[in-house]
Amino acid sequence: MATLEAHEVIAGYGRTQIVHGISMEVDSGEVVCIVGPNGAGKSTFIKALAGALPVKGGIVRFQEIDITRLNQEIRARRGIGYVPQTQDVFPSLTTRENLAMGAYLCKKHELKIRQAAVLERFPQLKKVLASRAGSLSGGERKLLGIARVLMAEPKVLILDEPSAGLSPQYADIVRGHIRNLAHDGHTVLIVEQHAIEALEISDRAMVFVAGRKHFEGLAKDLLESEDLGQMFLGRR
Amino acid sequence: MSHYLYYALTLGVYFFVYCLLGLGYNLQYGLAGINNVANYSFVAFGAYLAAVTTLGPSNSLVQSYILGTSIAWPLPLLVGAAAGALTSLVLGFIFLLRLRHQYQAIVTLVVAQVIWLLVGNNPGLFNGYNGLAGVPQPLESVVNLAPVPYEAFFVGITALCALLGFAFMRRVVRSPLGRVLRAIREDESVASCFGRNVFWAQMSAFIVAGTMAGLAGGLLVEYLGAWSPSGWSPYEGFVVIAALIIGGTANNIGAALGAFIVPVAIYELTGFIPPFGPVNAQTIDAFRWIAIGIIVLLFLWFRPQGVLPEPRRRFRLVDRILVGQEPIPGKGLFLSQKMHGSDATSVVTDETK
Amino acid sequence: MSIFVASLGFGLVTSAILALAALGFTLQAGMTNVVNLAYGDMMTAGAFAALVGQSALRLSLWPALVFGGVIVALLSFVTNRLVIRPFVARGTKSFQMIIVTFALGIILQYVIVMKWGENFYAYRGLSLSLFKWGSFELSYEQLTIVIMSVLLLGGFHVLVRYSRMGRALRAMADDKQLARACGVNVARLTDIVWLISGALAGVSGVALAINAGSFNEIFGANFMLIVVAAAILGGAGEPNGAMVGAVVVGFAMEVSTVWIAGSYSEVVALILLIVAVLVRPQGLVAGRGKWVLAQ
Repeated sequence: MATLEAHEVIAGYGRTQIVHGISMEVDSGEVVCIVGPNGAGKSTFIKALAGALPVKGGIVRFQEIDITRLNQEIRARRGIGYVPQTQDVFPSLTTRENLAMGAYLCKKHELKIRQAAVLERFPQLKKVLASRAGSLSGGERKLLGIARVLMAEPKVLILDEPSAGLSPQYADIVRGHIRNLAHDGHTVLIVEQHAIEALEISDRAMVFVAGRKHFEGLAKDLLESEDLGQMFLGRR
Repeated sequence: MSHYLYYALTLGVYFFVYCLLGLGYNLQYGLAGINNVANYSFVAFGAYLAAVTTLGPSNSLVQSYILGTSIAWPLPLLVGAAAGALTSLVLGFIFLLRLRHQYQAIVTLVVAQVIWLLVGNNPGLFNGYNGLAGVPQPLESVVNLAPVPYEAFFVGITALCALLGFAFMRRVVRSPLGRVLRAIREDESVASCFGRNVFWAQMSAFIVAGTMAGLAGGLLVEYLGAWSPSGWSPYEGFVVIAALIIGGTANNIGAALGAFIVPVAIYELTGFIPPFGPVNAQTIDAFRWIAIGIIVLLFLWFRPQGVLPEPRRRFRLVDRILVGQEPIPGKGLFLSQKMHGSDATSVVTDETK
Repeated sequence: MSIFVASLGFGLVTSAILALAALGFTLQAGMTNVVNLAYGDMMTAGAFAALVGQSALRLSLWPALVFGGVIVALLSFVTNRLVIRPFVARGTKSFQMIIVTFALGIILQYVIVMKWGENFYAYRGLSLSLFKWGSFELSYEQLTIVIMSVLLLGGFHVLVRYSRMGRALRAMADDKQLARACGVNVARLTDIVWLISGALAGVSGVALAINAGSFNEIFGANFMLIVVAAAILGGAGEPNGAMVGAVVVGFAMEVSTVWIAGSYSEVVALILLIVAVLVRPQGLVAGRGKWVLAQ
């Protein structure tokens, strides 16, 4: 069953159209990775899925229900968890408050249970619970961004370039967490610049070029493909 | 009959004075993007200085003021213009160096209020809240005309000033400075990356605007014969802003049109509403301000660019090479829209229509 | 010395009123990024609403104050829905937004002129008895205003710091888009912000009128720049900062009258603001400077 489904989605900023009709499906429990050159419309596409940008054309379905016209907060309530590339935490709130914002719609006792579970998964956050998110390191912020979304127990997790701007060590940690999430049966849609590392933890992959889908298939096929590898993964 | 003619000529004076003010404000806000909410301090300084250099030495029994001299017309007007320029230069260091956006707007308002309070509370400066009165009209004894012809003569003076201002502004818009100012307005950091000194470019626009405001102030005080703090406030400045928004931001003809629509048509002509029943002079005045407020809101909603929008300036050669065809007149500039979004139109500038 | 102590008393009252007003102003600026130049006229509207409450509804002084707060809260809510929100949703530039609020203020002020003219009014039921403690003396109304202000500010602080809604408010001030992604109903919270800030404008307007003894159609607009000074001095958009800024500005204004003429006390406040903006634009309570960056 497709958890998240896009059909001929068109999106862009203002009058400028960037995504020219892309279709795709993410099934429950799989990790799907979108790669492609700069300006291919990857981020725009997932913003349209998450509701951060309006969908100009096409249909977005979530658990078989049309959500094309729903706004971002209702999509979030339905279970779409979206971690933007930057500005993924509330800088003036503490780590603890950020986590509480993630579970904004939960009851208080439920919040405690979820916070304990999320901290179990991200032990790095335990010692910075009382610090302002704005004072955290880039890696900690990214973990907090993901942790905040997990607090809502989303049915699909959409990550926009989670390793961008992180030190190599922290990028590895973040990828490790994503792999663990996949292991635990989470449904993940991920956009990545570090394509090879991202593909290694993905089940399926798509390549976007200039606002259109150029390739779709198993992640390991893309990794092994000669010409695609040369074009998009920087392999010689 | 001569009654109406006199009134029409009065409107003519206001029209040309507000043209001058509108052109100056257009330069600083429309072109240079300076967020000045309180543009009337410069008018006030121009008016005060023109007045004290006309009135002669201060007689503290009647009214006390500084710098009292009596110099030949049109020198007081030039002194007024210079006072506007100097005020701009000084205040420019406060407004333009570090402040941007909302902070800039608020500080202009605050500084204007400080000036207003200081002038009002210091009777020795320009006679405090009572203000200056008895300023003689220029060349009254020389031309020796009856009221209506003299009024026409004064309209001629203001028209001349406004035309000079218009011609000057036309040159500024097309000059390299005009291009730099538009570039700064669109994106300050990009402009400074190209080695443009943002501060001094904006400062020169600010000074030119201040000069024009000072000149307008000089004309106003010579026309009215009196000037006091009750005659200048942020609300007077709002009339100028409203005129530009309605006429057309960053368009000199729009500034003139706005000077006709707001201060003349709305502000003065509503004076013709006859008092009836509960309507008295005060409610008509209130009605006038409410009307201006509502019209400004309607324009900002339905036509934020004003009646006459900013003329599109483009670089035809680039259009032809990159887009492969001549731009369609009136269809806008697709090259820059494609490259940067519609707002960048005037950054890619060279040739005027 | 006794003049100094007396000026401290007045400083306390001025600060209390200023803190209420500045809190409302800074809420609008911080949460919705709108610098509302109609704020002073909303305070005036509160004072006149309380006057109506006294004359038409036969309310006594303090219920009339509450009535003023409620009316301006509704006025503020409607203003946001009808004018501010559509303009913000369209992405109107900050300077044009300022002109929008400027126009709103002028409209409001002259609507008041149409009904009440340019005259001075005063409330019924002002007692003239004084609370004395050495040379420190205040009228009972002034004392009540100070206590009311402390209670309201304390209540607001608790609300913002410890409640779920307060957390959402701070989150929204940080990043509206992300707050939406958390499932926060931003539009509803914005409505609440305009209600609260309107109520604060109304209440502070009535309090200011009580403290001054009389009021006219422009007294709120005249007070507004002082409110802005307190809000910015504390750090624009920072609720706690507004209170600190109000105390600094309020005391500076009143204590300065010991040395210089009272007509200059507003100049003192405004010059404080100019210096603060030039030297420390982030405010006394470290803000994030959201305003400066906002287009």
